[in-house]
Amino acid sequence: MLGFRTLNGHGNFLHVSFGSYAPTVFASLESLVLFRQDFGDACLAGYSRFSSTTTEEFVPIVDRIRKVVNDQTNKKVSL
Amino acid sequence: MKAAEGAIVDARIPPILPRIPIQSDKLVRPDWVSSKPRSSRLLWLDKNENLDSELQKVTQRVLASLDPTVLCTYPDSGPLCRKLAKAMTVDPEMLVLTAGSDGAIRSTFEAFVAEGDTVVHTVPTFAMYPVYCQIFGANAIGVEYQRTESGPQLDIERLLWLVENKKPKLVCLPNPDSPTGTTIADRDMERLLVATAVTGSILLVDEAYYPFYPKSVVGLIKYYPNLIVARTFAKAWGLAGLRIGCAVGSKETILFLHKIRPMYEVNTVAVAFLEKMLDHEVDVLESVNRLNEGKRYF
Ligand SMILES: Cc1ncc(COP(=O)(O)O)c(C=O)c1O
Repeated sequence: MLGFRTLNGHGNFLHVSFGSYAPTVFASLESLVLFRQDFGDACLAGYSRFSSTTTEEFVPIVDRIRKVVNDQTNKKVSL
Repeated sequence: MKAAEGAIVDARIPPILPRIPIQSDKLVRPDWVSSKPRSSRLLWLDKNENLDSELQKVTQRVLASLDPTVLCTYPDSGPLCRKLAKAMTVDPEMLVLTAGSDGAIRSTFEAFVAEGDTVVHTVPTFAMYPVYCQIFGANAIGVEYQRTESGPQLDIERLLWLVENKKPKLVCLPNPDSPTGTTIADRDMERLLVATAVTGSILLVDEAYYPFYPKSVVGLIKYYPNLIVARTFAKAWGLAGLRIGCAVGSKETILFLHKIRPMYEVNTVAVAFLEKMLDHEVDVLESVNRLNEGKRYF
């Protein structure tokens, strides 16, 4: 939805790679949600993992990530 | 240093030592004293639980309906065993209740793995596989997932090669695996079943994420007495705290797991709760759909 690379796994969890946005996304989600930020294994390095939840519960998380991405993009544009 | 009063200080007293594998400094467990509880202000999406509030309405009702004597009585898990077997379309003798799928995994190691036996498992995988390899002194061989554009990929040919050439006592394969979320293609699973049957290796297929991933090998147990399937009610059923699951296999194989069963393999609350909760499979499947939808939304 936000253009990040995701892995379509088959458990009750999903992986997403926030790329260069990772530090700001992690900081912005700190007061909202607990999730696994990263993995030491090469096959999953750079991916974060969220357990699945309902769309309603995901909405505020996705909204916050979207805001971080938009803010950062606007900052880059105005520089 | 001054010895505490009453302490026995005698250089001739030998040190207290556990089994050799337990002596290893490499066997280290998470800190059990200073663990920090998770904040209730945050949404908990870190441990692959199911916190779906709609499902919680059902589990709350079931919990409220339990007879309070479950707290002061020992369990009789026979009726649950029979009901669960029926739900899984297996014979009750093909099933043993365990403390989550972790309990099924541990029992499998305990019954089949002796010190020095070879155990093959994927890397990365559920954290307890390497731990049980250490606890039971196994010669662990890991098959690493390769990084690809579409996510982690298992080298199935390497896994098959290891089975055929190392003849492991046990092969552990979560399907789907965690944390990778990957699954084994049906064709590869069949090849693995045949290969392990030929070498006399136990194939432990860990279906902790059933029915998020609805394919199962339980139906193949009748052809493969070396197959053990681990299941749990911690994931889809939203019962991670209840610590209940099961191991399913041929009657002959499951008998070995019964032989090493503790006095009471699961607790009375779990037994009574699950017996009632099994009538709510539809609610569980609806919850699975809601969570899968949420995943697609993200
Ligand atoms: C693949 C796999 N197997 C087993 C387990 C353990 O599940 P349980 O809570 O039923 O012991 C987990 C838990 O995360 C898992 O991911």
